[in-house]
Amino acid sequence: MKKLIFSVLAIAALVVTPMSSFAADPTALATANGSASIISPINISKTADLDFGIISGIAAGTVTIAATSGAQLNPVITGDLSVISTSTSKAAAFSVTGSGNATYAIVMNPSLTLTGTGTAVGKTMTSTLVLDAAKTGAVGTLAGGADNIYVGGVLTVAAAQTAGPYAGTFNVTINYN
Amino acid sequence: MPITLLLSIAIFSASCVCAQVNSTLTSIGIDAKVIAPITLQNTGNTPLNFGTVSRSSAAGTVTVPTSGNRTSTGGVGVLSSSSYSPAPFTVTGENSANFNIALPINGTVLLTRTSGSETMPVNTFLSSIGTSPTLSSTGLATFVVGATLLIGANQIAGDYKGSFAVTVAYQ
Repeated sequence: MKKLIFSVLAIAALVVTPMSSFAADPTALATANGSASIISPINISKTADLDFGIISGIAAGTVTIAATSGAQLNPVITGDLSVISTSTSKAAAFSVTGSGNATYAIVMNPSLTLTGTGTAVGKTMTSTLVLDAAKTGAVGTLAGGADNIYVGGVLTVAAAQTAGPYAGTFNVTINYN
Repeated sequence: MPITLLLSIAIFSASCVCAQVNSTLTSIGIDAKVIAPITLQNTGNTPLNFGTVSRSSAAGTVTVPTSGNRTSTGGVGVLSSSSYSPAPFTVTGENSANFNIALPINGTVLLTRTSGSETMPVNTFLSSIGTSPTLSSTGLATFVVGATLLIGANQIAGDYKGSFAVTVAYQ
């Protein structure tokens, strides 16, 4: 009787071995990671307007405002022009905020037409906007999530340009690289 | 002593029934051994990477497809300078065998902010070779898995990580 029990148990053990190898075969599972980084949006706001100042002229000439800061600066004159008041002359300044030390692309149409008002209604002057030389390739770099963009310009004044106030509007668009 | 004897008989009977059932299964086990086991690996441990995304006050999505460029919708933007990739997988098994790929269903995978508790769901998992492909004549298949990340309005900035499981099975 003792011998018989032993032999039955031995058969059961033989059966179990192939079963376990079968169970491991027909499916397989793998785990992969997912990742993403979220950063704060990039924003731009104007902190100063581009102002060429008050100019007097007889013949044609140009007035250039350097794009180095948003503070008052004296324009550079060519031709038969003189600047009567430089107290308001300055480049445009923009404040940029965003994430860390990210870089961003700057898009700006450099061609700006100033349109006369008041006594100069219907008259125009052309100007070429100049982006901050520090923004090589029109790319800016945030430092601690902040940066400034300066925009100067070259104003072309025609001979016998009608006197009066002239103004125009331009857009600066930025986007994370 | 009579009690001991009875117990022995009872055990013997149970073993006997068990042995008969298992004997039937044994023949299936021998069949399975003819087929090479199917294996699945996340190739190079490369993650499903959505890259860097700028959030806003509006919710949005970023999709990393199985091929082609990353896209976004809603109030979010992807940084073109940030790299992204679908997750690659390698399957080995029996030559020319058909198999199924099971991907996570929507609402089951979340990315969690590192050193935070905020989460973002990852939905719409897709395989580049569908879900019922065939192993090659040498018993190999490779595929990539893409998905769509859901970014909430004003999602807290930071690095988000998570994991997901993919299962393959012979048909």
